[in-house]
Amino acid sequence: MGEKNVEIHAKLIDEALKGSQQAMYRLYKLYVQAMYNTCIRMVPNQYDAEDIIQESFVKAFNNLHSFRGDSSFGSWLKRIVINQSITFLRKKKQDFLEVDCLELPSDEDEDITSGINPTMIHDSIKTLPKKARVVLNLYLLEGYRHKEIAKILNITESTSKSQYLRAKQLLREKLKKEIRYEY
Amino acid sequence: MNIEEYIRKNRNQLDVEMPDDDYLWTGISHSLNKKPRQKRFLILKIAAATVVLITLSVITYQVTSLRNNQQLILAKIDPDLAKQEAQFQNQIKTYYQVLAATNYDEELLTSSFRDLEYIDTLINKYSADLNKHGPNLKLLNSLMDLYQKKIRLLDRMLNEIEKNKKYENNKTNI
Repeated sequence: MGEKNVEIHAKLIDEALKGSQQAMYRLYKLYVQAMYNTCIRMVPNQYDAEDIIQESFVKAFNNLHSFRGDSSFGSWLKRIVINQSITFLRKKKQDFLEVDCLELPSDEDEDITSGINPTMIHDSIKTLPKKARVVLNLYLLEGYRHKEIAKILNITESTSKSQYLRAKQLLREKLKKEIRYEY
Repeated sequence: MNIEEYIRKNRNQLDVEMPDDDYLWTGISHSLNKKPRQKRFLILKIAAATVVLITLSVITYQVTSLRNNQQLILAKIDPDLAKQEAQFQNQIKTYYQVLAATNYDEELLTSSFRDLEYIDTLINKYSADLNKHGPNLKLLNSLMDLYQKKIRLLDRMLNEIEKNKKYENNKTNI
């Protein structure tokens, strides 16, 4: 993020802290798309994602005083969105511990990226099994470490790693099918 | 390039879905506007509870000090009468404790509680009069009479509860 952007954000946060809804709206407009996409990849249902996004922004604006600026506002907000999404999945009795016994295809390093695009990846991630999907999102897209994921999801680090491997291989298979379908 | 590398490289282009941001903001701003009202309501609730608490404390204090004064007066007039009043009060206290432990049916005792309330009003009135006008034999006798009435009523209430319990048990056994 450029220095100018940081300054603008700091100003907006300051105004939002004073209760300015206009500033809140501008912050919302800046981040809603990124947050919504992060959320819908974790909870692949439009209505659930919309609820979570609304709750997350309300929570963020109501707790703006606790934003210390140690990280960027976007990272802070994303943490809220991710936590809300995980809480939602937990409420739906989503257990992150279990690794399904599934025969995984071998992880060939075949290059399939020439025929794919970001939309295909986004859509394919949404169709992954829940547990694998959450771990892949946190690790690959949101930059969490397996140690952190293990802590958040209350699983072991090795479960997180195996879920990630499984997710990656399933994603590859899905994309391969997509490419075959496209051509 | 494998998928992992591809995703990392194109991370910023993966946010492909456009949310209905106007709809989402409507809900957010509605919740944000609702909050201060809830806060205000909460403050009002706390204030109301505080007022009730203070009022109750004041009443309790007044009644207690009234009783203490009255006992002082009674002690001056007739120490035996003061002792008797203390006995009545202890007896009433014990009845209330027993009553509370019986897990009674409130509906069954509605009218008795109303009678108790009425007796209490009279006791408070006579006590206040005694405090205000000083020793008065008629007033003292009426006060003692009220205590006894209250004890009899409490005793009747306990009997009623016991009778009802027996009736319910018999019904179950049949």
